[in-house]
Order: sequence, then structure tokens, then C-alpha cells
Amino acid sequence: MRRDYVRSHVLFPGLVLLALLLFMVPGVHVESLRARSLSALSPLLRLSGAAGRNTQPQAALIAVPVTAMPAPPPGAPPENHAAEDALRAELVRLLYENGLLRSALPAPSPLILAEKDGQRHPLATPAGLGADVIARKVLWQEPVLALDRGAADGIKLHSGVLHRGAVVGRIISVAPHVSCMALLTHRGMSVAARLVGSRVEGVLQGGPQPYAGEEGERLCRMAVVGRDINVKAGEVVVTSGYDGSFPPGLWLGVVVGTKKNGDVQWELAVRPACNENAVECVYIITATMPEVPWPVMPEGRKTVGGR
Amino acid sequence: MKLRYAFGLMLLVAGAVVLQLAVFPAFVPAAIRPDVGVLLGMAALAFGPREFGLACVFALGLQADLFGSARFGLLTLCSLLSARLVLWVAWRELTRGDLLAAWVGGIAGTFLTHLLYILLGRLCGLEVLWGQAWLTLLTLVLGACVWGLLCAWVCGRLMYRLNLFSLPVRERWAADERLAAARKGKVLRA
Repeated sequence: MRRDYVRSHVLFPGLVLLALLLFMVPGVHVESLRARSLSALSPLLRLSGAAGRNTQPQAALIAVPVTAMPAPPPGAPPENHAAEDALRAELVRLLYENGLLRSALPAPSPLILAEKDGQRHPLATPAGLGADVIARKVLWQEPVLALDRGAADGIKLHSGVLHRGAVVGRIISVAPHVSCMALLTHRGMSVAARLVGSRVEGVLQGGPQPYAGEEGERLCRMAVVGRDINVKAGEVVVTSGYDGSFPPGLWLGVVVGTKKNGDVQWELAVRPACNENAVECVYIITATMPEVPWPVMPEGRKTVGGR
Repeated sequence: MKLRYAFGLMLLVAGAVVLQLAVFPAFVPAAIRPDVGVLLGMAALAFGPREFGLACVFALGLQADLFGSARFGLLTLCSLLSARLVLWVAWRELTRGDLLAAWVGGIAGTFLTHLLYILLGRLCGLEVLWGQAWLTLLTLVLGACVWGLLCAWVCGRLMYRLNLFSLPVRERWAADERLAAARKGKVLRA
């Protein structure tokens, strides 16, 4: 009886003392023990489908240890900072590379179907090859980009250039291994275009816009002939394929404003699909368009029906 | 301590680990997830001898500490202190072998353990987010209300089968079982 009394009254303080001693166990050992225990229990956890879930008991949510950054020991060698800087530089390099690869991905075009033979077919990307922008220069107040592909790679003058699936410009000069392209907003640029909703054709041109865009944004203008074309802002503009440089259905931009210049003359402001300031790599179309046997005008005749 | 007590203690700890890490997180919403270790420990304290109960509370607090405490040893200490507090306030009611008493003891133990955990944790320098702490305490008490009776019953049946009960509790459960059998027309030997 006496022994039971002593045991009962000594046990509790002993266990409390033991619990207090547990406070002195280093965190590293606790983590190691925890990891080993969880590893041993992993078949059981996997069996019950709890693996990967938050298996922490609720008590863990109440309080968390204060995790301060460990202070560097006094007299720590400077190699630590050098390694940190190297890691940061590596991170920046990887982020840049990631952005570059993302920009090379084809963007989802709003037009994925083209009508042919009364049926709708998905548009295929025309044959071509990728190129990197290697230089940018402002010539006659218009930006021109230099590309690292040239005639030796099959690039021809006036070939169309795409960026993320949308039209960004056209080749304006070719060297054996380098070429230059003008952007859509270049004043000499002209692309046969079509409005998707109203199916009206026109010519998309760079140069002076009917009105300035937001914050000096460079826009294109599209001249359209028609009495009542019912164009609204937000309508998509695509290539019509009539100029021999681009196949039909490639995304050019979006209508942001309309202006009537006469009974049948309309001038639309079009925002280009690509951000021209962020072009780092492009896709040059090398596919040759079918040559049309246009009839040769006879000598001495000015027009087809002329006298 | 006899071997069967050690065996029972191991079974209780293993059961608590499985319930705490696998069953409850997988199948029970977080709002009613209890601290199984405290519930089983309080049930063991209610049904078994005091030494066995305290050892159970210690071992189950240790497993909770190992898998989910911000400071190793703190949850064990809080479990022990709250068990002592519950025994001090209501040891006679708790240890008479009543399921209801074990259930209420589990709820009180859960509340006290985690209240002490918050307060002592704050004293120890842990970062206590008060709103989240009170909310978690509330959900734990709610979980204890929902699952406490079932845990007490399962723990009681296990301890009864393994003969881990204290003598008065064992007599009471055996008498209840004989009575239930007699109502069905069976006779159980003592």
C-alpha cells in the first residue's frame, strides 16, 4: 500500500520532469526523428490515401516557432556572399530564359478555323523558320529590326513575319545571313486585310493614324470601301491573303476606332496584335504563295475596257 | 508494470498515430478533427489504474509532440498538467468507469491541454496568432465533442478485452455485461 502511494505520487512529477527534459532535445534530432517516423509510417499513410495531404495535427496550427534568419557567424568567409550572388545571377538568367521561351510559344489566335469548300478547317501554321532579333535601329523615324536569318536560310524579300502566331511585319531587305524587317506600324507597310465579323476587305497600313492611341501607342490604319459596313470597336482584323505575302486568316489586330471619310470611304484605327516593343524572336514565313498568271496588258491599251 | 499494460500502451499509441495522421486528415473535415491523443489518454486515465493512465497521457502527448508541435515536449507537458488538473478537480467522478465521464473528461482535457499549450507556448517565445489559435482551440473542442464518446468507447472496449481496467471499473463493466447478457437470456461466468 505504501509502495503504491509512493509510486503514484512520484510518477507524475517524474513524467513532468521528463517532459521538461524533452525541451532540451535539439531541433535537428527532433526533425530527424520525425522524418524517420513518417518514413516508417509512409506505407500506412499511402494505404489510407492520406499521403500528400496535410497530415499535421491541429495542434500544430496554434503556434509556430519563430524562424529568424540565422545570423552569419562572426568572421564568416566572404565566399558565402559570393555564392549567394552567383545564385541570384543564375536565378535572373533562368528567369530571362524562361521569358524568352514563353515569348516563342505560339499565342492562341482568335481565328482557329478557316472556311474552305463550305466546311471549316483549322488553320495550319505556314511553313517557315524561327529567327532571333539581333539588332534594332530607328531609320527615318521608323524602327527596323535585324534578324539572324538571311537568303542562305531561304528568306526572301517581302516574306511575312509572325510573332506568337500573329503578324508582326515583313522582310524589307535580305543579306546572305541577316535580314531586316519592318514592323506593322512602319509607314511603308501595307498588308491586305479583312474584317472577321463583316467580312469586308481592306488594306492595313502603317504610318500616320486617324487618331493617336492611348499614351502615344502606335496604331495602324485600315482603309475600307463600303457604304454601310457596320464595324464596331473590338472587331478582329486578319490577313486576307491577297497580297501574296501572308496566307489568309492570320491575326493582324483589333479595331479600336472608326472614322468615315466620305460616302463610301472608311478609315479604321487598328491596334496591332503584337506588342512591337517586346519582340525578341520571330517566325519568318518561307512558304511560297502560288503565282497567279495575271493577264498582261496589251500595248497601247490603258484599261481593260478602254478605248 | 505487467506486460499487458505495455502492450496496451503500444496499441493505444499506434492507434492514435494512425487516426491522427491517416484516418482523420483523410476523411474528416478540419472543423471537427479532434486531438485523438488527448481523448485516448483521458479515457485511459478514466478506466485504467492511475499509473497506466498517466503513462498513456505521457506517451500519447509525446507522439503528438513528435508529429505536430512547434516545440518538442510542450504538448507532452501540457497534456500531463491538464490530466493532473482534471484528476484533481474530478478524480472520483472520472475514475468510476462511466463512459459519459470519460467523454466529458476528454473534452475538458482537450480544452485545458491546448489552452495551456497556447499560454505556455507564448511564454516560451513561440509566435502565437491569437485569432487562429482560438479558432483552432474551438475546432478541437468541437472535434472532442463529436468524437470523444466514440474514442472513449473504443478505448474502453480495448482495455476491457486486454484486462487493463482498474478493479472497480472492471467490476462495473463486467456487471453491466452480465446484466445485458441476462436480458438476452444468456449467462456469463464471472
